[in-house]
Amino acid sequence: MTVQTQPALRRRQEWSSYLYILPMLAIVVFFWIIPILISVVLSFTQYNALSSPSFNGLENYRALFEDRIFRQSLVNTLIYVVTVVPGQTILAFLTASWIDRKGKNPATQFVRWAMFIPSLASVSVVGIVCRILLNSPTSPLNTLFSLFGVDPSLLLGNEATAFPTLIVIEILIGSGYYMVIYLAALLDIPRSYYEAARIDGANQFQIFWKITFPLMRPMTLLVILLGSISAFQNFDLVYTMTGGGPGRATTMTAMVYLYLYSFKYSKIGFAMAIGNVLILVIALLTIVQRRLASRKDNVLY
Amino acid sequence: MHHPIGTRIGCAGVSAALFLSLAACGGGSGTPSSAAPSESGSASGATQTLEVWLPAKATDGNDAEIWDEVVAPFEAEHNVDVTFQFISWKDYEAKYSSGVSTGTGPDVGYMYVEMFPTYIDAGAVEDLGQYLTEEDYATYTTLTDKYKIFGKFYGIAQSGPQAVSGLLYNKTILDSIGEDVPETWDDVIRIAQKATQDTDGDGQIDQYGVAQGWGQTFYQDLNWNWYNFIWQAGGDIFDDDGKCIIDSEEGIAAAQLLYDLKNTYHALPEDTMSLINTEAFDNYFVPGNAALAFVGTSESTFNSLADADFEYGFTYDLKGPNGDMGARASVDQIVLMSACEDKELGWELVKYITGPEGGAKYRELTGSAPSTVGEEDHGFALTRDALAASLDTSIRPIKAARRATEVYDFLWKTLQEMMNGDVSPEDAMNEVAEFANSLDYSAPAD
Repeated sequence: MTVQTQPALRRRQEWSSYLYILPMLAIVVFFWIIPILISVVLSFTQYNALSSPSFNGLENYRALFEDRIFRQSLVNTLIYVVTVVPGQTILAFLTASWIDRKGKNPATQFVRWAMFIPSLASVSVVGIVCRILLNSPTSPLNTLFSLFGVDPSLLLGNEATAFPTLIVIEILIGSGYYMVIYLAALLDIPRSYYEAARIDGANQFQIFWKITFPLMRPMTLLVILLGSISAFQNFDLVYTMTGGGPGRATTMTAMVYLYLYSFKYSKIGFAMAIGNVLILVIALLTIVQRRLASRKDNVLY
Repeated sequence: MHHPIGTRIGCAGVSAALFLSLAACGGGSGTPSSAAPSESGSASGATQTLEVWLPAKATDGNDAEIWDEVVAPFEAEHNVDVTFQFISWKDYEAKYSSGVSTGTGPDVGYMYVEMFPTYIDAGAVEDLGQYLTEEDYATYTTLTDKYKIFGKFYGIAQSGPQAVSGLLYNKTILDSIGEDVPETWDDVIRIAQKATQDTDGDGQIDQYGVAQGWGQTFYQDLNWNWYNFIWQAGGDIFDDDGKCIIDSEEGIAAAQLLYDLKNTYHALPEDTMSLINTEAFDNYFVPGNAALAFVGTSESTFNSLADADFEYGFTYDLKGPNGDMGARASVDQIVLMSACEDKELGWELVKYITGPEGGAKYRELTGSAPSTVGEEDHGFALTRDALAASLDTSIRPIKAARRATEVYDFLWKTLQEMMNGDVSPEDAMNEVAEFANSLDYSAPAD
C-alpha cells in the first residue's frame, strides 16, 4: 500500500489543476495570443501573402493615420457603436420587461420569437434579404412604406440615409439576443420584491424604476460590453448591404476597411495595422467596463 | 446567435490573414519555384495526381459532373488522377491566395485578369512562352496580343469572350419616340431624353431613358457602367506601363456622359443609386419601362426577357465622339502554377482542358463560345453572330495592371460620388488618377 504525504498530494493536485485549463489555454494561445503577436509584427512590414514580408517600420501606421477614409471609417465605427448599442440595449430591455410583466401569452410568445429569430440567422443572409426587401418594387416592405409615401429603394443609395438605415437594421436584428439575456435576468429577480413594493403602494412605473431598473444594472453593463464589441467588429451587415458606400466612406467601418485591404487588395501589413488599432480601442473599452462592473453594488441574481 | 457569428466572421479578416502570414513566414513548400519543365511522370507507371482549382460556375451546381466527363480521357491516357476543387466566386481569390501562400495551392488553376499581377510578381504562375509551340499559336484563337498579360501569355482562355457588355434597346419604345437603333453617344443622349416621360399622365415619370444601377457594393458593375464608355471615348484606365491615365480628355468625356445622363438629363430611375445594375435592368428594362440598358449579354440576361411584351435588340458597336468602339469581355484563363511538380504533365492538362479535345467538350457541355480554330460554336445562339462580327472591332478584355483591384474599387466609389452630384466628372477623374498613381505600380526587381 502506498501512502502519500500531504505535500506530495497537494503538489499533485496543483499539477492536475493545470491540466484542466490546458485545453482552453492552448486554444487561447494558438488562436488568439500568437495571431495577435504576429499581427503586431506584420503591421511593421509590407506583405502581400505571396511574397516574403519586408520590414517597413512605422510606415503602415503613418499611412493609416494620414488616410482620410480610415479616419472616416473610425468615426463611422464610433457613430455605429454609440447609436446601435444604446438602441438595441433599450429596445431589448423594454421588450424583455414587457414580456416579463405580461407573462406567457400568444402576444409575448410572438414578440419573443419574432425578435429572436433574426439573431439566429447569418447576418450576411439577413443583410442580403434586407437589401432585397428595400430594393424590390414588389417586396412587402415596399408596399408597407408606400402607404406612408416613402420609397425604401432610395434609402441605401442616398448618402444621408444609407448609414441610418444600416443602424436601424442592426438594432432590430441585434436586440433579440440581448432581450433573451435580459429576460433570463428578469426572471431571476425574487418576486417578493415586487409584492413588497405593491403592498407599500408603489405603481408600475415606480416598481420598474426603483426595483427592476437598478437590479438590471450589472446585466446592462454586460449587454453594453457585448454590444460594443460586436458593434466595433461589425462587418457582415455593412459589407453585404453597402460595402462601405455609396461613395468612398459613407458607411465604411474599420472592419470593412480591414477586410478590403487584407483580402481584396492583398496589403496584409496595412490591414494588420488597422486590426491592431481596433484591438487597442476594444481593449480600452473592456478595461473601462471592468472598472465599472467591479463596483460593489452590482449584484447579479 | 447573431453576435458570436458576427464576431467570428468579423474577426475572420484578421485571423485568416494571420494564418496566411504564418504560413508564408514559414516559407518552405509555400514558396513558388520556377523550375524548368521536367519529364512527365506518366511514363513511370505510378498514378500521379494533378489538382485543379476552378470557380464554381455551373448554375445547377454540377461542375464536378461536367469536369469529370471532360478529363476522363486525359486521366486514362496519362495514368493520372485529376482532382478538382470548385470554389465560390466570392471566396475564390482569398482561397487561391491562401492556398498558394501555404503551399497547398493547385497545380493548374483559373485566373481572371485582376488576379494575374500579384501571382506573376511572386513568380507563382508559369510564363507559357516556354511551352507554347507554333502549332498552339495556330490552334488557339485567343493567343493574340489582346489577351497577353504584361506582354506575355500566362494562361490560355477557357473559352471565347464571355459576358460581353452590350447595349440593349427596347425597339417598341424607340419606335414610339421616332428613333432608330442607337449607334453613337449622341443617339443615346437624345433617346434617353425623349424616352424619359410620364406615359400615363399621372404626373409621375414612369418610363426612363436608361435602366442603370449605381448601387453595387464593389467594383463589379464597372463591367457594364464604365469600361465600354472609356474605350468608346478613345481612352483607357491604364497605359502600357501601368500608369493611370483616366484623367485624360477621353476619361473625363466618358465620366461626363454618365454624369449628364443622371444629373443633367434626369434619364435614370430615381433609385439608380440604390440598385445594382442587374436590379435596375430587372426593375425597369424587363417590364418595358426603359429604352436602353448597358448589361452583360449572357444567356440569363435574355432569358429574363422571355416574357417581354415588347421588341428588343442589342448592339456591341456603340460609337464614341470620335468613332471609337469598345465592349468589355471576360476572357478568364487556365494557368499552370509554378509549384506544380510535374510541369510537363501540368502543361499537357492545361492544353487538354482548353484545347480542341477536352476544351471543346467543356464548351459543348456548358454552351460556351469556342477558342480554337475550326471548333463548333456552342455559344448562345442569339449573340453568336453579333459576337463574331464585333470580335475584332469592339470586343476586348480589360488590361492587367498592378494594384488594379484597389484602383477599381476607388474608381467605382468615386463614380458613385460623382453620380450623386458630390464631385464633378473632371475632379472625379483627377482624384482617381492621383490616388492610383500614388500607389506603387512598378514591376518588382528581379
